[in-house]
Amino acid sequence: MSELAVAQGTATRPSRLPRGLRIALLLAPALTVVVVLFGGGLVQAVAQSVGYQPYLPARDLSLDAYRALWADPAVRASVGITLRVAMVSTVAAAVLGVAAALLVRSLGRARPAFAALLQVTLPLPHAVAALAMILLLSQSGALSRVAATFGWIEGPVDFPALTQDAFGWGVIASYVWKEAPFVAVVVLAALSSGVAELEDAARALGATAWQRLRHVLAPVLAPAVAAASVLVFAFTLGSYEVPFLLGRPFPATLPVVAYQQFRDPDLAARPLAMAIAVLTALLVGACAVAYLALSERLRR
Amino acid sequence: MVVRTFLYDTAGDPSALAGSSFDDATFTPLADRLWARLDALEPALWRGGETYPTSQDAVEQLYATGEIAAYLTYGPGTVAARVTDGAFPATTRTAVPSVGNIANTSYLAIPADAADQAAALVLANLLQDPQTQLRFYADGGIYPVIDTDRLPAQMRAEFDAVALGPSVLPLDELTARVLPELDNGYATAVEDGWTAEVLQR
Repeated sequence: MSELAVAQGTATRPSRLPRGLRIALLLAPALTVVVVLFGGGLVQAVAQSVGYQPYLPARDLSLDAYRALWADPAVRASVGITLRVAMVSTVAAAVLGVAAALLVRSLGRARPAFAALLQVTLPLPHAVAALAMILLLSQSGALSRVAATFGWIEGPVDFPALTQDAFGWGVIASYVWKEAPFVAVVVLAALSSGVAELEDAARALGATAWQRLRHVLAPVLAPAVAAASVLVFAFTLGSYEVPFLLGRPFPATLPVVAYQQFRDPDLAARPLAMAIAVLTALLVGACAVAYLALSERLRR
Repeated sequence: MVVRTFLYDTAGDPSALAGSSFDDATFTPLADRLWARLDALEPALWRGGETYPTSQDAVEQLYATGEIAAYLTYGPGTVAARVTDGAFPATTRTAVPSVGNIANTSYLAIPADAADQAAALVLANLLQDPQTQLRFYADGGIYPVIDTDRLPAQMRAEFDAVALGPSVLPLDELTARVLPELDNGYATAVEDGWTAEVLQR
């Protein structure tokens, strides 16, 4: 009976549940989504990649699909362009994002308006960005038409190929357009927590602009930029629609190759498709671990 | 379909391939000539054959924006609507390659273990109904899958009255030199061969 009275009388007291259990319960909804959707998908991909296909006549499980990865010219050509596109997109988005954030911070009264402008591209789907890039950058796109109007080029063929190009510029442009504002928003958030006071203190102590950037701004921004970059890198490495719309059928990025195999009407191609998907997941995981270790060092 | 049309043409006599099942002894020497021919054709192709569009939609978009001057299609009738829309130039004309054109009919299949077989049959009947076929034809340029000669005279007259415009050949000309789809074995060999010998080169 006294227990009931205690429970009623102390509504503002923290729950009597053990702290660990309470945290676990609070995280449960989010964790369930991650574990069931992502973990479940990953488990299924691994299972199918080793040949677990219960709808086909029974076969022994094997690593044949992983051995076939390197024999497949589409996969071999894909690794380079996948890493290149993800790397260039991430670096460009990080540099432009930090620059945009610093620029917006230096604005006076216009600052909130420009900070809001940075968020405009965030809710737009990547497929829309990719289609916009086709309309803008393709050999018959808006830029090409402007160039033709001014008589700089005779026809579509004279305009440089920026979509379905060998390097992947179209894909990179689409990613940077979407992700640089994302980095900028994250960096702006990191900049708002008393950094200006730290900089003023450094200036008062005689630090030059370069010293303030190196010893005050960089350490504050590094963790935020690193975290945002890992997200951008992981996304650009594993995303499908942009390289499908703006890239070449060969060499294509890993997710596009995986989907090409996945769509093969021959179900025997499925383990290879899943092996490519698992390889992509491993690459993303490895890069994220390496980058987080690096950012840990940056923080010190 | 484009590469299979070229395969027919490379063979010279379509009857060497049409209707027969895959034969490696026929295909291999033919394929070597086919890849060499497609190689030689590259300067005339989009981007000089350096890369290829990813889908039929992408091909038709390239035609609409003027990046390419011609393309092959399974749906010649659909060209009329694109010309009327203004998406394609008014001077667009369909033509049949000298070797003939691969053509087929859309099929409806009902799985043996379908849960609602009766409903599926009703839907199949609706889709094959002359009225439905007429609307497909008149509005979308999709050719009828039914034999219009067996329709009542008045219905047949409605089909005959459909005018797709000057961009599309009359049906009898389009079907004068129809080639059947190649055997599945050939289709797969053509696809794999093109990927390995042309796309990935």
